[in-house]
Amino acid sequence: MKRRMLAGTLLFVAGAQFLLFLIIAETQYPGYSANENYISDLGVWEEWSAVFFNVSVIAFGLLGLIGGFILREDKGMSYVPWLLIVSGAGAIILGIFPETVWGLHKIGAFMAFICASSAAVCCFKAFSGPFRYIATFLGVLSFITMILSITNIFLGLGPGGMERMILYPIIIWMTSLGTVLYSSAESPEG
Amino acid sequence: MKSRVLAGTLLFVATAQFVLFLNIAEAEYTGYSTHASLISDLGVWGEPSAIFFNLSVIAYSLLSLIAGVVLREDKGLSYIPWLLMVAGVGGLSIGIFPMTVWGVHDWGAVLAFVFAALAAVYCYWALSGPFRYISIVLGVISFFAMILYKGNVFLGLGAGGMERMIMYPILIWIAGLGTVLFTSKEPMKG
Repeated sequence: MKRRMLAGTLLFVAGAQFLLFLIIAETQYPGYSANENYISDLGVWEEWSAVFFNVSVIAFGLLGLIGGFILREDKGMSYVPWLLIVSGAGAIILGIFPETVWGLHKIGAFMAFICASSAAVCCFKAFSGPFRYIATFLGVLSFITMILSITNIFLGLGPGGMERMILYPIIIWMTSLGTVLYSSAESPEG
Repeated sequence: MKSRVLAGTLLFVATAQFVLFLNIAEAEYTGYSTHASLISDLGVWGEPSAIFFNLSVIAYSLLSLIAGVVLREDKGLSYIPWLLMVAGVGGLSIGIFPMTVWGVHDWGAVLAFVFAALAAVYCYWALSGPFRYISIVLGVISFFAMILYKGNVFLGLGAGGMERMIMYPILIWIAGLGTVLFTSKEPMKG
């Protein structure tokens, strides 16, 4: 199997499974509010949601990391593979250490979000066609909402809603990167 | 612009905006529960969520419908453009008539979900590469969840959670189809 096809499939599965298990986790957390609760609340080992959320985040991180590792020598991908590797490592930390382990969880979240958004923006250089614009838009959207979230500006969405505006663009980008990779030839440039 | 690039971009934008606005709608609906509340609850006029949800569903459906029309003569896609068009018409009925207009809304949902899931399953025969397998898995998950939902079997996810197990695989599939289309050569089969 070609490297891009394998990595693309892994990235698509990473994003798709995480989106589905995030919803399952939300249903298993009594009284969960998409507005008031943080996404990471789902990973605290007091609710059943933690099993779905943490395992799924770890899988997401691991698949992203392996996807990046497979693509590391793909010259047409610019820094995207390395950013995927660091982002994946961040997601694994985030999944292993819930928000109750404050420092490590925060470091993991920071690595995962920042590096994934940077990778999305980097796609502008690495790809051609509509995907380069879509990827850049999603990466910038994630960056802007990250700044808003850190500065406690929630625009009526609450901390949870604004946090999802960081996460969902990244998930949408990652699944589409997966599809682009396995649809593209070995070198996407041009 | 080539028809597949145009249609693919429309399908991708349709899904990305819907996922983001669905999140905004959930954050705007006081006391919304992913477990107990139905997706369509977000569209009932009286809640601030309705404006985001209904407009976004209408945009999603309109873009899918237009993409279907753009692709209607693409022989490599077989019946998929027509299935997209019918699903799009169903989606428009959901967005225009909230769940308080029971009959029309419910039939719109049947059209939107059943025909989109059919299109996903049909991709197995129409497309090549990893996406054909991913499509059939997502389509079958959606169908399976539809049967469980109709039989009031929610497997602990609640009505809202199970409804999302119907819808999210379709959204992931449509975003993936969009990316496959704008990265593919004009005749896709092969």
